[in-house]
Amino acid sequence: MSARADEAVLSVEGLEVEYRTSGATHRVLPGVDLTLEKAEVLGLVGESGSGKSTLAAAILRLLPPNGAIVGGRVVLAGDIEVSRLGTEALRQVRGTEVGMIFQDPLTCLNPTFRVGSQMVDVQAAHAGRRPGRNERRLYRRRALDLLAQVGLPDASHVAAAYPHQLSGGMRQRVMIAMALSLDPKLLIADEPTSALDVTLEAQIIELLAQLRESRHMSILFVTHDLGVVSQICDRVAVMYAGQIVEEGRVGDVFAEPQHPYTEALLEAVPSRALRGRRLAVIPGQVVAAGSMVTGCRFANRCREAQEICRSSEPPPVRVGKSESVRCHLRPRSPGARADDEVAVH
Amino acid sequence: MTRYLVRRTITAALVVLIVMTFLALVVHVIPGNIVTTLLGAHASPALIRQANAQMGLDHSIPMQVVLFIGHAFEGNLGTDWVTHRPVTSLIFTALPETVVLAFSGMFLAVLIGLPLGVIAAVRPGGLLDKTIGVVSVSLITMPSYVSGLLLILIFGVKLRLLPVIGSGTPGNPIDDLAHLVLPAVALAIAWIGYLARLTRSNMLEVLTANYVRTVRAFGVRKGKIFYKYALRNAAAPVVAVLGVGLGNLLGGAIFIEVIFSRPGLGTLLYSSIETRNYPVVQGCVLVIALMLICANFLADISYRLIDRRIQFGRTAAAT
Repeated sequence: MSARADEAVLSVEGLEVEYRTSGATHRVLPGVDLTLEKAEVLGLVGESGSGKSTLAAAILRLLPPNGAIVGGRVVLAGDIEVSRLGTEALRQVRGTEVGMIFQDPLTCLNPTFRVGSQMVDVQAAHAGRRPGRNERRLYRRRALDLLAQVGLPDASHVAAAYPHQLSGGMRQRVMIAMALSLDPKLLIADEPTSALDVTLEAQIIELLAQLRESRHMSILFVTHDLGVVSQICDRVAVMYAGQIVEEGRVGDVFAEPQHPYTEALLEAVPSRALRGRRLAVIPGQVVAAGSMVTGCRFANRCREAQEICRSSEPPPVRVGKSESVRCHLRPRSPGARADDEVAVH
Repeated sequence: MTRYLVRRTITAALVVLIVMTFLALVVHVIPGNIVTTLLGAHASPALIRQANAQMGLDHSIPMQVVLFIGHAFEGNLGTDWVTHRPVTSLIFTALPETVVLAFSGMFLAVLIGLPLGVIAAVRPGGLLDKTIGVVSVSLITMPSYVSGLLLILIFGVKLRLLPVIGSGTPGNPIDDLAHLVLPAVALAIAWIGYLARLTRSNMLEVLTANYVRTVRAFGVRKGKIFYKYALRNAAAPVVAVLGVGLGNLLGGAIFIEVIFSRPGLGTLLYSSIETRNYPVVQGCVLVIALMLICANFLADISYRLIDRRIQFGRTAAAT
């Protein structure tokens, strides 16, 4: 791992995050490992409450006030250890090393400022000294440039608008342009298309794919949409109850999912081929974030669960083509054939 | 924007009409006949008739309303029952004094209250926040007539630092200002506390907003986030409150003017209530209502200018 971590744009090692709510502490991330190479797009998928957004926020220490990183490390560009940075150093890393875009671009842009002035301020924040009028003019021109690059041809009009005067798709493009203005090597996209309709979603995905090509940018793409993952990602990490239960190349994982949760998740994707048939669902609910679980976190919903699953936690192992799978029952014992195990509903 | 202004002006005009109607009728709503109250029980019928005619009470009630409104639009609010001077001239002498007082009070309140709220929000739960909290709440609970009396006692009687009676000599701005300080402070005190609390809670709410997280994620400096991004959003509701607050301050100004023996609308209203000088009371209340309506109008517009999401197209809440 450490040899790879040197070249990695992002390396998360044993990250533990806790939330405190009215006296009780919940360990939302019990120790997550994740690596992202240069120019690689990693999809981080999971249900609501699986901890994927917490992981994304923890990378730049943007957790809400009641959340805290209590263990592990986040290393950027091989040598920047985020957890050890002081306030000012952390501020300088934010935006320049890692850009971030969020789910709801309406609430993510300040309603009382014109879009252009927010973009100028973001650039000015990393100028070193207080920028003069000339610098600000330069930032403004750069902002217009970037707006045009992200597919907003009427850039000066957009820059002069308030966020509510733009459509959802335009706002997300503005967010992307703002992220690009600091030339980050890594872009964290936290459900960037979840608030958009399907057409716009496709356009934004297309834009991100283009940017990744032209800028050799790495992207951590947080989503609950497996379709989106297959469109843009190279690798996928499936998260369940704060743990990454399966990780591998998208083609491999989607073609031959190893973890029962990944399997179930893929079965639950609606598709034209299954038209007219009842959609598969995963029974039960995610274990409450941070609740103490002995054994496998998915055991109570797993159709294959056995005694061992409830008593001891499975370690991550390489199974088939997947790089890491947390399941006691994988690889399958030689006697059992995959077909026997898939229950018929 | 233009459409909004037109619509807003129409609502304001309607409110003015309603207020006028009410003021014309109020003479009949109050128990007892006002003319006999004014002239005494033993006034001769001829005198009563004359008084009725003078106050326009010999017309039918709807006609009285129409006449009152008509005269008001002509700038005629009737005649002072006691001095026989036109009510409008009385009001126009008194009005500037009150406006200056109310605005000075509001200015002080914003000048002190807003920064206090911002400072308290820097470290919520910290010592500074708690201290400001206690002070603010104490200030809020203090009515202006109590703080006015205390200020007179401390700065006028004990320390003899500032004048406490009247509004200064005409043509001497420094003397005017010296006379204005204590009444304005008395008026501002409760509002300082109120604005500090309001600003603090607005700031804390705004600081958890997604758009604040965005600028944090992009490495914008904390000070800039605080004073540029968050404060602007937190200020919008404060501006809205100021519109209502101006009315409150005008009400407070009545007590303050009486306590500090300042000439003004308050003193005028107070003395004419005492002498049952109805035309003057009607005039004063009408002018105060007009000022309130204007203040709300301005507040509505200015906080739309701060927060552009509040559209000009939609009808605002009633005046």
